Amino acid sequence: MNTTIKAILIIVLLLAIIAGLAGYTLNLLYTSAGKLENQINLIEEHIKEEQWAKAKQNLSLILTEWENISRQWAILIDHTEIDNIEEALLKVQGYIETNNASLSLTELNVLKGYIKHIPEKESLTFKNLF
Amino acid sequence: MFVIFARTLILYALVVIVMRLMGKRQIGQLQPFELVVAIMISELAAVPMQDTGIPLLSGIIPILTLLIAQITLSLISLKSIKARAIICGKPKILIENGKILQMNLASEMYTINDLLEQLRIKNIPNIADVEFAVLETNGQLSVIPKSQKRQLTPEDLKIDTKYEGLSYDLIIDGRLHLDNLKKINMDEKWLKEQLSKFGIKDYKSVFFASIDTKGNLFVQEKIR
Repeated sequence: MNTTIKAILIIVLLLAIIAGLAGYTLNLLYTSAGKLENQINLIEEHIKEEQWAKAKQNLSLILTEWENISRQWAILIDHTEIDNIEEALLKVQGYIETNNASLSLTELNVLKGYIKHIPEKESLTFKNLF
Repeated sequence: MFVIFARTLILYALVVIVMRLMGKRQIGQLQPFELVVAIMISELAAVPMQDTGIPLLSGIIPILTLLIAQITLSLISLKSIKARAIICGKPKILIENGKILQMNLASEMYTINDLLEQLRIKNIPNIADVEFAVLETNGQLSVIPKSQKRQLTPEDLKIDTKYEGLSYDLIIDGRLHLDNLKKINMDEKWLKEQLSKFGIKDYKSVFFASIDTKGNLFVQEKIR
């Protein structure tokens, strides 16, 4: 095979792999972050209505979901971000266990911020480029 | 510990593949942009190797991106002379017909001391012996000495010489290279006969054996 054609094939193949991987990664991050955010919003509503049993139930769903998501995210993002989310989840768990509404809602807000930040950080935006 | 070990091996394998795809050139012969890419790749590989908090893809993707950029630039440079001049630059003559071109020295920020140093490294201690000196795009200095100062060749002495080509490796570390044996139109039987003249019964005990274009066999046995 001609060297030029070989080189062009390598370039095209690598570009396709990177573009495909980038697209898949971003989609995965947005989808899974969206799922977690929805669950968190639900817990916030339950806490505001003082429905602690439902809040705990939804929290355990998030924790189960998080086990799968964290394994996928570990390949794609900085592990410090994952550690932050896990720390926030532990705090939320503690505050909900003690039926502490204000601390639970604050920490849930922080958790939402951490989660929302992940796909935003990976998007191709002016802010991220510079 | 095992994690760092595995990550190091993965990144090492990737860097080897990438450097292999980028082509064979020694460090001293790389173009400036190629040297930059090589340094960047080594830095990009080193960071995820030691920091397990950084995902491996954060090292792999930039390395592959640099490979794409490098191959693209090399391809453009190969196909277009104008692009080559922009990307690699042009060689600059520093000494022409025995005269130092001071403007060219200044434009390349090459001092006379740099020039003298390079000439000494090329075994030319006297600048007056130089006809042409060209600063190549990879930073190397090519020197053409004056005709009276260059090394003698058989042609100068009107001596006829026989053809001298590459020597062929026949045995490396006990392993026979049949393809090279075929190239010189010989077979294993012939090689065994030749080795027996050196007191060697089995080619597996040979560390290295090669034959030159004059048919002289070089043989060295393995240390026992």
